[in-house]
Amino acid sequence: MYFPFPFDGDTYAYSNNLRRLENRSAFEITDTYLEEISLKRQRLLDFHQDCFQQMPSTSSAQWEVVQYVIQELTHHYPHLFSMFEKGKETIFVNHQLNESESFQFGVDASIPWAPLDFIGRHVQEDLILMGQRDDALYLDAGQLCFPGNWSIAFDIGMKFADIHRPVPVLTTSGLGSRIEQFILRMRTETAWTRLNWSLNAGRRLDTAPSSFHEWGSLRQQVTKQNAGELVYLRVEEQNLMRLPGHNSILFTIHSYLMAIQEVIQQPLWRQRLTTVLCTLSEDMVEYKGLCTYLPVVLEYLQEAQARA
Amino acid sequence: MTRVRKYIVIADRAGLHFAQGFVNQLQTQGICYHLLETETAIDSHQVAYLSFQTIGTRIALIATQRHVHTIRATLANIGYGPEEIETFPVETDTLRVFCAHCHNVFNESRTKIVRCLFCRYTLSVTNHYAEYHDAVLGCILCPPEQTNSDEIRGESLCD
Repeated sequence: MYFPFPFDGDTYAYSNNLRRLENRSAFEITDTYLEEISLKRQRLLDFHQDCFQQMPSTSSAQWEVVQYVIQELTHHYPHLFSMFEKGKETIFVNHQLNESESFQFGVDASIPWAPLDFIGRHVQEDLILMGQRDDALYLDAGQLCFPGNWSIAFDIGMKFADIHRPVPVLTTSGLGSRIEQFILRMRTETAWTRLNWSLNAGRRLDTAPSSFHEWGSLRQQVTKQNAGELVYLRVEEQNLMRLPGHNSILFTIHSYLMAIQEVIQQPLWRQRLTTVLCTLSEDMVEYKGLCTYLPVVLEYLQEAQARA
Repeated sequence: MTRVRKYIVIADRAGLHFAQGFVNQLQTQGICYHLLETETAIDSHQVAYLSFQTIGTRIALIATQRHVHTIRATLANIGYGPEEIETFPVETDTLRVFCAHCHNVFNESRTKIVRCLFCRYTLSVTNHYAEYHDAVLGCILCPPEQTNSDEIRGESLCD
C-alpha cells in the first residue's frame, strides 16, 4: 500500500518544502479508489455547499482544469481512463467506474455540474483553483470533500495570505509571503509537490469544520491503550501546477491515513514520528489540534520504541 | 500596500481617524488619492464618481464592519473586483460571524463564544477574517443539544 511518509528528518518546522513532481502523474489512483470516490460523491450529494464553491466567471478556467485532468489520467492510466471525440462531443470513459461522460468541451450546459465539480468526481484528489491577479493568488473555485479542518465555504474568494493567516509562524516569519512569491513565479512546464501532515483521532478523511462536533470529540477518547488503533497519521500529498490558458494555479490534495500502530511497524518511521512529535513547538501542537491527546500518543510511541 | 495608479479612500465617521494615517502613507509614497467621506452608505454622486474611474484605481475602505459590508456590495455592483478593494474594518461593538456549521453570517456582540442565530450551534469566535463574507469564522464548540455540556467545550480548532 502506497503511503507517503512525511518526515525525512527528526524535527519538523514549516518550510517551503516544494519539490519538482517528476516521472509521475499529479493524480494518484490507489487501491482505495472506489471507496473514496463513493465517499466523495456521497458528501457532494449530502453537503454540496460544504464541498464545492466557485466565484463567478471562473467557468472557463475550470474547463482548463477538466482538460488538464483528463490529459493526465488518459496519459498515465490508459487502462483506466480513455477519451475520444465524436463530432462536437468529447467522450470521457472511466473504466473502473464503468462510466462514460459525454459533453461539449467548454459548454457548461453539457455537464450536470460546474466543470471542476464534474471532473473532481473522477479523482481521489481534492481540487483547488487559484487565480492569479495583481501579483496575488485568490481561491477562485474548489471541490474539497476531504478537508483537513478547513472550509472552502469560508475561504472562497480569499487571498493566499489570508487563507494561511491562522498558521503559526507562516505570517510572522515572512515564510508565507516567500512561498506565495514562489508559486506566483511557477512556470507551466514544471509541477511541484509537497507533503503536509497532521494526526486524526479516528479513520476519517472528511474532517470539515462543519462537522467538528462529530469527529472532534473522538480526541478525548484517545488513551495510551487505544492510541495505536484510534489515532491516524494523516498525510496530504499536495501538488501545484500552472495552467497556461488562464495563468491560474491548480492545487491538488490527496489525503492518506495510516493508523499509528501500522506506522510503527517500520522502525525508521517509528523513530522519526516519535522525535518529531516530541519536538513539536507549542503553537504547532495547538494549531494542529493535538493538545488533548498528544501526551498519550507520545507515551504509546515511547513504549513502542522501548520495546523495539 | 500594493503599488497602484490611484487610491480612493472611502471612510465612514468611525474610520476617518484611521483613514488619515492611510492618507499620510499615500502622500509619503507619492501616490495619487481621493478621500471620500460617507455616513452609512455611498450616495448617488459618489456612485457616479466611482463608476467613472479607470483600471488601476484601488479602493481602500476604512469603516465599521457593518458599513464595510454594505459599501463593498455597492462597489461590487459598480464593477469593482475583490482585488481592487482593500478593506480595513475598524473596531465596533458588533462583529459579523460566519458559522462553520450552517455557513450563515450573523451579527454578534464581541465575545469569544456565541450561539449561531440560525442553527443554534455554540461557536468559538476566531480572528480568521474573510473579506468575501466580511465576517470572522465561528468554529463549532458544540451542537444545540449539548449546549450545557462541557464535553467538547474549549477545543475548537478550525484552521
